[in-house]
Amino acid sequence: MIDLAFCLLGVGLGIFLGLVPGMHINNFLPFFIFLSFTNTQLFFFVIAASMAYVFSSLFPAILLGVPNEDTALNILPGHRLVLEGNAYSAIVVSLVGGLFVILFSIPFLFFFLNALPTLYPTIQKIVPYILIIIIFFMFLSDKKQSILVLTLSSLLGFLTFDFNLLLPLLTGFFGLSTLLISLLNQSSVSPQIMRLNSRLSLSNLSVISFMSCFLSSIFGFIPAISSSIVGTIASYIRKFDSEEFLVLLSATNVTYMIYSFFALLLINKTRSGSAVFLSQIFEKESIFFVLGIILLSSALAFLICLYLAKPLVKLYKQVDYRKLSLLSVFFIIAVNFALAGFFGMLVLLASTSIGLLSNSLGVKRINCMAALIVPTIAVLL
Amino acid sequence: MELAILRKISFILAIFGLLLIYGFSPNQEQAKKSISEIRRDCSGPVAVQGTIGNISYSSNGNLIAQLSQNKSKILLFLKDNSIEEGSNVSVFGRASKFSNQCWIFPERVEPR
Repeated sequence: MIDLAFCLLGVGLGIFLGLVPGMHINNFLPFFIFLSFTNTQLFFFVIAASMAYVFSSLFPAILLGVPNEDTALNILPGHRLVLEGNAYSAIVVSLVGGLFVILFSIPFLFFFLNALPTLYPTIQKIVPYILIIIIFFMFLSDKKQSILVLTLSSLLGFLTFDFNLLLPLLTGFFGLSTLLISLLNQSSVSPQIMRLNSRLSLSNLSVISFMSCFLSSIFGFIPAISSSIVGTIASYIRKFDSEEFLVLLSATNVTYMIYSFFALLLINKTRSGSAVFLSQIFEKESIFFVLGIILLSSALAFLICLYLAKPLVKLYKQVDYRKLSLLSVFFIIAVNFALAGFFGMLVLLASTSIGLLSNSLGVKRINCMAALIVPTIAVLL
Repeated sequence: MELAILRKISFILAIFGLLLIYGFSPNQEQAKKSISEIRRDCSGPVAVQGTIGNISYSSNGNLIAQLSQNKSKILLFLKDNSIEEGSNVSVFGRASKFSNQCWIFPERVEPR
């Protein structure tokens, strides 16, 4: 019973860390190992905090345009819905995506429990070729000028690949550039609708969740392939409107976090900071116990975030959009400087310029994801 | 899409999660082990007896000590700075590899 309290503690910490713009749970994990918790308490605490973090980190990405490494792509559809006055719906559908995908990920997990150790080497071999096809598809499905964005992004990706600078890289491409475009275009925000105003049907939700699980199953166990890459791949397989894309992205982030724990249990690979941390204490027989913590903490995080959505959007409504955007711009710069230093600022400047260039050329901003995909291909081949 | 239905789904997930937790809770009983056994299998909950030696601060500023038993030694994180070198103690905690070495992360250290 006392151990369950650590689940609540973890959920509380995860939600808090997710709500602080630019904060990542990985920054805090090294401190947890020194806590005098038992193994069971650590399981509860770390898994619950990680799951809750995935849910609550949607708020700063959607409302403020300040992402972390996993929510960078959420900004574009999120921002669009915020400007339309649908910030509340954007948050709720994202949360629903995260919750719904858990239902689908369980049968996938049971399949992988048996098949993954055998399938993993084959999957690992074909993934770089799938990524090459995706890069070609990105170019062919857009204007010719997209080659410029693809090339520049790839070069920047190669330059930063060894330095763990995902935050300034993705924030510049998707966060800072979007905010600057809004400020320069003097975008106005429609009055916010404080109820769920969604066209998303249950069948649509199911299809997207299934797709997210399926793609995460193929790519989620491969090192160097982030959830943003999976989001990019999905966007070339099927056309999504803003709501659907938000569902897909949050579903993929949740699946990624879940699979990172199971990749550790099944194939002994660590795919997230939390899994790296838990690898110190994981035991194979813990698999259903871990699943139980994932389900409990996700359900709690979903309910708390759902409860927080209205007051936070109301608070957002009361602040002048221009002032808030300016504040977010300064915040992004400060966070990136604090976490990535001077070199990080140079990367932020370069990635923001490429994001702005992509907008002025009228090509899809998702082409900037070449910065992750192309170096990943090079590593995997 | 009804929020009420979503809340119900999350309640069902939470209950299912609780059932899994109670059904599959790993056995966390701290097995009594010798230091050489811990060094061979550096994982899981352990209870070990030994003598504290070489108390120092690690490069990260953590208080650490050696715990020795016969000729075997293992590294131990200390949280209690009242423990003195040469004291015989029983350590209850978990063994875990950290920075390529086997450590004991104690939950409690009791004088023997």
